[in-house]
Amino acid sequence: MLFLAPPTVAELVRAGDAGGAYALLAERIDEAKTERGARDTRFWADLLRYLRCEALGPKLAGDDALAEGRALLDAELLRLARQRREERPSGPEAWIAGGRLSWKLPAAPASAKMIRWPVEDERWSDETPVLPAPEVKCGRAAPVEPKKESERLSAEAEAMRTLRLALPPGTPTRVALLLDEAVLRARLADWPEVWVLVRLTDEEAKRPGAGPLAPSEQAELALLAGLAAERDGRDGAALEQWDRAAALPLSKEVALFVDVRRQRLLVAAGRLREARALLDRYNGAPGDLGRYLRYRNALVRFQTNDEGALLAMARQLLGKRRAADNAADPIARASEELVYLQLARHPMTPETVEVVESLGPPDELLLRMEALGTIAVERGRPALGVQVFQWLMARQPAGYTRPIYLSRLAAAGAGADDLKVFQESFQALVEETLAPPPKEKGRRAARKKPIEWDRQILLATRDSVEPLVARKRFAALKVMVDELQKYLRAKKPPWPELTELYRLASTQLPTGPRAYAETVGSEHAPVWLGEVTLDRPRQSVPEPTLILPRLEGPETLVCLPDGRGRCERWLGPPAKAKRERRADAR
Amino acid sequence: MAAVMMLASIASAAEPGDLKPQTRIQRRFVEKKGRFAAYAGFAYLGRADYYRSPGIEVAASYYLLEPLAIDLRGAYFFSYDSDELKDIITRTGYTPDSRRSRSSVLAGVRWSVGYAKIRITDRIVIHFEPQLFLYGGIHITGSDTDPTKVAPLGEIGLGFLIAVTSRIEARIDAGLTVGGEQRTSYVAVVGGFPVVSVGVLF
Repeated sequence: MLFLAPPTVAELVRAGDAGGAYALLAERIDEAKTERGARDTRFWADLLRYLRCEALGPKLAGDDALAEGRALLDAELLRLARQRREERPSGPEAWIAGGRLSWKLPAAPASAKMIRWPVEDERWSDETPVLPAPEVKCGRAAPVEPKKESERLSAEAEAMRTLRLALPPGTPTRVALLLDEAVLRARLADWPEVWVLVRLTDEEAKRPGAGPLAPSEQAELALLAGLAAERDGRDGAALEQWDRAAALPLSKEVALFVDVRRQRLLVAAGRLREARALLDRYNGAPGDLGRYLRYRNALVRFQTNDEGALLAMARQLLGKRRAADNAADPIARASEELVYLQLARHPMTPETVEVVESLGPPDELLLRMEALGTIAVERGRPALGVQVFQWLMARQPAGYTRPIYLSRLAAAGAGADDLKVFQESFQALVEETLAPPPKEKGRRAARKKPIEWDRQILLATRDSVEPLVARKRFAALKVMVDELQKYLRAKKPPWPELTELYRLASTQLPTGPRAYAETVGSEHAPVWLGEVTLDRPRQSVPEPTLILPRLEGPETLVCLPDGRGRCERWLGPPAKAKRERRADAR
Repeated sequence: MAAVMMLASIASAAEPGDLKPQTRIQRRFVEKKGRFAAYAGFAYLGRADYYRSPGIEVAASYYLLEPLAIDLRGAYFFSYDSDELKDIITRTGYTPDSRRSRSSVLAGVRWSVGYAKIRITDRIVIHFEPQLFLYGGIHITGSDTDPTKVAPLGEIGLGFLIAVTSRIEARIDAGLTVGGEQRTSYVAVVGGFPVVSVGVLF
């Protein structure tokens, strides 16, 4: 025969049957099975008061598990008051709302069949006490003292600290107190203190018998630790914390917050495979943040030389918009740069043109090719620059772009050591700048050459001097000097820098009085390394500002005495489904 | 310091008044609502009429509510001359104008005004209900020499319904009757009507 022992008050509380626990405790007091003033009765009575958001009775003196549990109820009420001010149900309020905690008293027998006796001290064995349903004040607006919120938080944090210091290390609830204190300090923006507290929490959690922390609390701890480490400039430690947080079950909002920070640090740490796996999860994410994460994914693809995926993502990010629109959009600018840097990794082929064509409107193809060529010249791929600008020159030999193409061709030729291209382009640029414009019928004076021609002479000179001197291509340098001499004698340049560049170039020539006079005793010319590809993009995309997920602290600070001298953490009654399963099993 | 004050301010010093029962309940020893009961017992109708009137009574009750029953009672009296009457007749030869009770039929209600229990021994507790009752009906008088007369009769009284077992009950009633009677003139007659009966609940 199986005898089931009736549940105790503690078991009923753990199961979320607060009404049953209340009735049982009242019955035990009524039947004089326990004294109203006994320590354990007072503890359970106060716990039940806490569970209905009622004021507690007098404190319990001493340092046993009951006194510890009772002191934590005071701290828990502070936490509950804060959550109430923020209109966010927590503790018993959340448990009641979520169906985890029930204040339903056991049903009294039908009154018609019952004799009701007034309560008196005399008890008859055939009489059953009937309890009035206690007032459950959870969910009601509590009066708030007119006080600054920062003062309240500060006082609460100090209260938690006082209680934490009073508890010996290894006490189960100490870890939750530390977490709560860290959350309060974070709200007060006291990040150095948060960094200290999260490390103390980690240490405390490792002690035997400490905790446990619920998964949501662990996630919050990792979040706090990550933020504190970031603010302290400890990227490595921050990344460890974000990794730790990512392994925990997080809400969608918190997971996004963690992932945005984690991908940044993963990319910076060169853990590109992990960054790619993370960012792939957000490929379909909507809004500005989704677009930012797609750009970050494109950046990772660029860094891992995954050209196909990079181009696909860049096309999506650019959306075939016009150049003017892209110029105003940092993500579009940066994506375009990534594509050009990627294309600059190999020589120009017909496919290169097709790719560039696919990035925007067809009528802006030359503009985009020019951008590709410019990047090639400026980022150490001048040979590609020569190819691109020759292609451009073939398609648009005249017009306002001609001085630009000639200038870039000259610079690319000098950089790629293609002296024929350099000389032809530089000479053409200077000669055509100095050539008198054709007279037009009906006009009094011939039109002056646009100032763009002069500017391009300056730019071509600036970009060509260094490679020519470094490689000691004096014949080409001589051509440049002669052409500049011709130009400077013919007109006063709009920019004095050109005169300085001319002098610099002429001093590098091995022959001539200026060369000897101005280079005797000087340092050797730099060594020119030839072509290099600089992979680091220069366009920066600011990270979207994410709202810090609400830091709520521990689910509860309550502990329940286990009868063996310890007060174990209690994270509230089980979820409704679990309770029902347990009841069915009974 | 502020923290200590904050924690201290939370704890209310007053002892809360919760965890105390509002009332106590007890299941009735017998539940009567909606049930019939039949009673039989002994009665005595005492009036200032020179007769002794012991009798037997039967009653049927239906409990409309747990404390309220409607009742139909019938009593038959074995009336005989009292010693005083015999003495008067012997001395003077006069006979009284009062009439000998033969029976009564009354209908009315009984209301249990409370519930009580008495501990008799460590193991025996008697449960009972004090009741008030009110009846109205007829009183039949007459004898072999007198013609039968019917007169109205009303009764008010106090009783005790004692639960012997869950089905057997005893009733002890002390009633006060008021009836009309045609004597030399029509008069109101007041009397006492105690009844002790035992009944069965169906």
